[in-house]
Amino acid sequence: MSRNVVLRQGAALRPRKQKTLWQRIWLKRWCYLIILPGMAYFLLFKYVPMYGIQLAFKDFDMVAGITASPWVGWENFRLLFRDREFFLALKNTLIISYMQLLLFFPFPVILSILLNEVRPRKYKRTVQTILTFPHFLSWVIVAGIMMNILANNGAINNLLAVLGFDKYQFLTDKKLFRYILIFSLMWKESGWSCILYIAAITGIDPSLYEAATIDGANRWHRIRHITWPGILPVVVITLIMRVGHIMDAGFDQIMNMYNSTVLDVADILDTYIYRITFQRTPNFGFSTAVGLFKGLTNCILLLTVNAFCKKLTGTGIL
Amino acid sequence: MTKRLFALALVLCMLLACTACSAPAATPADPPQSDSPADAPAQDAPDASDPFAEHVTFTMNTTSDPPAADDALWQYYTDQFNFDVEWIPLQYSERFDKLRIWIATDDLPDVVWIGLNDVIYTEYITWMKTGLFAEIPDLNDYPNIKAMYDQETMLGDELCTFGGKLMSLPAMRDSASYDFMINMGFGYRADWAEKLGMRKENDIYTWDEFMDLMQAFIEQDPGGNGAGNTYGLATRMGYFPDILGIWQTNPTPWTFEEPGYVEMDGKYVWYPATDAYIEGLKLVKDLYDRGIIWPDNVIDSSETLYRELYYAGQMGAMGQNNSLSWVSTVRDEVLKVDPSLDREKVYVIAKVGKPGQDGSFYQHAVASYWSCVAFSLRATDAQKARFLATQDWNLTQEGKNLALYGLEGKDFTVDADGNIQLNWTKNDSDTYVDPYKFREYYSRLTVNDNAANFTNVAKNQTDVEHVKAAMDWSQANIADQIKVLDYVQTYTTTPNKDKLGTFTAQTKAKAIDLIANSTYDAIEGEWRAWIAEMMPQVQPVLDDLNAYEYIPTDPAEMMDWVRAGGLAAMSAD
Repeated sequence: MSRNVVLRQGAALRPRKQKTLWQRIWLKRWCYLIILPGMAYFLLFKYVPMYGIQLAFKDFDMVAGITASPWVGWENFRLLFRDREFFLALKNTLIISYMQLLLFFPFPVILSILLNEVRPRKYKRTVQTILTFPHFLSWVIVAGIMMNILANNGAINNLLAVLGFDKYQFLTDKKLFRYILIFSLMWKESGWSCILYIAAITGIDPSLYEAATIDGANRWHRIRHITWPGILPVVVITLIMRVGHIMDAGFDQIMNMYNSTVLDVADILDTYIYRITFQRTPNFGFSTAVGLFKGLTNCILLLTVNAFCKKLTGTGIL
Repeated sequence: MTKRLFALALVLCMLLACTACSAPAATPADPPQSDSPADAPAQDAPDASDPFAEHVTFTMNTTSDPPAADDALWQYYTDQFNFDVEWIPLQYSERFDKLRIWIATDDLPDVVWIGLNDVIYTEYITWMKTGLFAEIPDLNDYPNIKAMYDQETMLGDELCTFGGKLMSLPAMRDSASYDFMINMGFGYRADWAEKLGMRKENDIYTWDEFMDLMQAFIEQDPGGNGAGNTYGLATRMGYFPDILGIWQTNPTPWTFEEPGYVEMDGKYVWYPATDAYIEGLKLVKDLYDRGIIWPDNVIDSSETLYRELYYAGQMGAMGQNNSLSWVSTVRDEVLKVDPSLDREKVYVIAKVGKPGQDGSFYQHAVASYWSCVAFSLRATDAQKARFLATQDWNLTQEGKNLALYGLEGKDFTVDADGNIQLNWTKNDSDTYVDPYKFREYYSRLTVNDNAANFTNVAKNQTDVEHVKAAMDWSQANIADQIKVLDYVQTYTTTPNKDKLGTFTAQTKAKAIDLIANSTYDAIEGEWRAWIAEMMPQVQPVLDDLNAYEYIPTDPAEMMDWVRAGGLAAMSAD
């Protein structure tokens, strides 16, 4: 009998001593060290700034500072709910976000499934690289590209003119503008977004496909009964995360692409906050109230959708 | 082991990131650099007899390109005064946004340039009164700055002194000889007009004649750009849509270059709510619908595309502040694209009559200052002193020569009569080529010499003659029509005006929206409906402005009131 076996047997005979929290942390110290940067990030950049939330209930005085500024109760919220521009921005945020959810969100999922079905590996990788590339362009550049394509003296209008048609003001058309936002989002982010789904597809056991093929399943059957269930948990998680950001309809994109003629349909809460804070005589208490409203709404939506998804698919993030 | 190393590397990265994100070392609580010479190495110890012995560095914002590393003039200048500037470059269009962000986040540069010539004024008053900036040291140590500041037209005390403390330094415009009138109006392709046989003598047009000319440019394409590729009239977003008809229909003294409050029949009203504004708005709408205004003007927030189209020979005219430097720049740029053109005719200032009022012309004067400079609370005494010393020297004749012509002996010489002989090279258009690109620090911060620097021998003399002739024409023919700044309204500080401002951004956005998306018949109704929606927000400001406790209501008392104390008296309360 080896010494180890004797020791294990001996240990089994004695009652196991409960480790303290610090002992357990020390045991996994390297894991904790690894998550420390992430925790520090959230602490520094997400939790510490919450100190400023009190501004929503104060009449901010720059000289006195946040703490010494006088409390005004719900006054900033009263102003908020009387502001026509706020409701317009709220409406636009919800509309644009739901358009993104309906039109953009499924697109990378479909794209990843389609890419998975491409057999020549070189061709597949080339297409994937081309689709991913626009993600690395900033929205400033993409907005410039859209301007060059869609403006009155842009590529499309010049083509229309050459073909004998009248030019059209795409970028000032309120009915079109939201679709232009979705189109440019698809062009820029679809390739990048589908990486996650492609990774999920890669994780599916290939023997399932082989077995299905032997059993006579065609391509559509394989997608429906193997690929789709295989990536569903990832789709659900990304959906929950997206809904959790429903009030973030894309500040960088809209700030760079919108203009005064489409303000009524494109001004979202984030651009509204930026405008009232930095492009007008600022009222920081009011701006914070808008931000707080936005954050709370996001939080409630996240919890609601998580509960819904858990009930529906058994998968959630909380 | 690998995992441990990885974990340590991650933690190290985090620490580095935190260090990078932390506040700058210097804080108001830190000892000023100038007060701690003992900390400096012995060989760098300042010489008490040399005011520039200690090397000073400060941060400063700029809307120009910072000086290049090989800029010999800047190198010489900073060596002479033993200082460096860490520039914070900005787009001109973001000059206000960034300033507000810096103030909110306590990130102001040491020396702060403030574009104090339009809508930011009400906020500026608040910042200065509440002590967000540092006091300017006694100007008696800087006699040239003091002389500039003390000029009657400068209104230095009214603009910069709050509660008895000097809080900023204004940059004076160089157009005092023209009562600060500017050449605000249209510049156009006179060569195209000649080609079409439509150029008028002395470039004087009625409103309709000028707009017909633009229509002819678009339809007859004298530039040979091809159908649909020649545009009529455009302006920078800052002037849109006002310069295209709204200013011209305004019967009252103007405030700034943006819509604000105007005095009518002894009472202040919100200008966008007046019939005159609506008349102007409809005029612009008509021009836009007719295709005379460049269709993309409504979306050109970059403020650059319109002028690039003009340089490329695709635009017939621009609405602009036609300063000497602007006229020269446009002519040079157009010639770069097509050197075969007649430089004197590619951009000519037109005198365009008011709509429906032949013989009447629009022109306006601006404030005597253009911008100002202030110090952040973080600025040390040494930084303030060095900045002021350099600016004081800039106002000497020697400093002015350096600002305009470069290094004496190398770039220019002065003959026995005091005349400047330039050694610069000339381009094909017989225009001197400036060897230095960066001028802002020497010629923009205490004197803005951009508008009427007609004695500058480096400028193209045909451009000088052209711009001067246009200004002289205005002075000789329409002096009584030149709109002057309403100093009372400008310098008035009231609780609601300071808090709510002029609603410029909202007004401009709505006007642009309706110009692009409404119809000529519907625009008036839609505008009035929007005004009705806005009035509850605007009314408190009007109530303040029309309350005698804040402001004298008789415009005749305007300047007397200003000089008797005006803003300074109020800020002391």
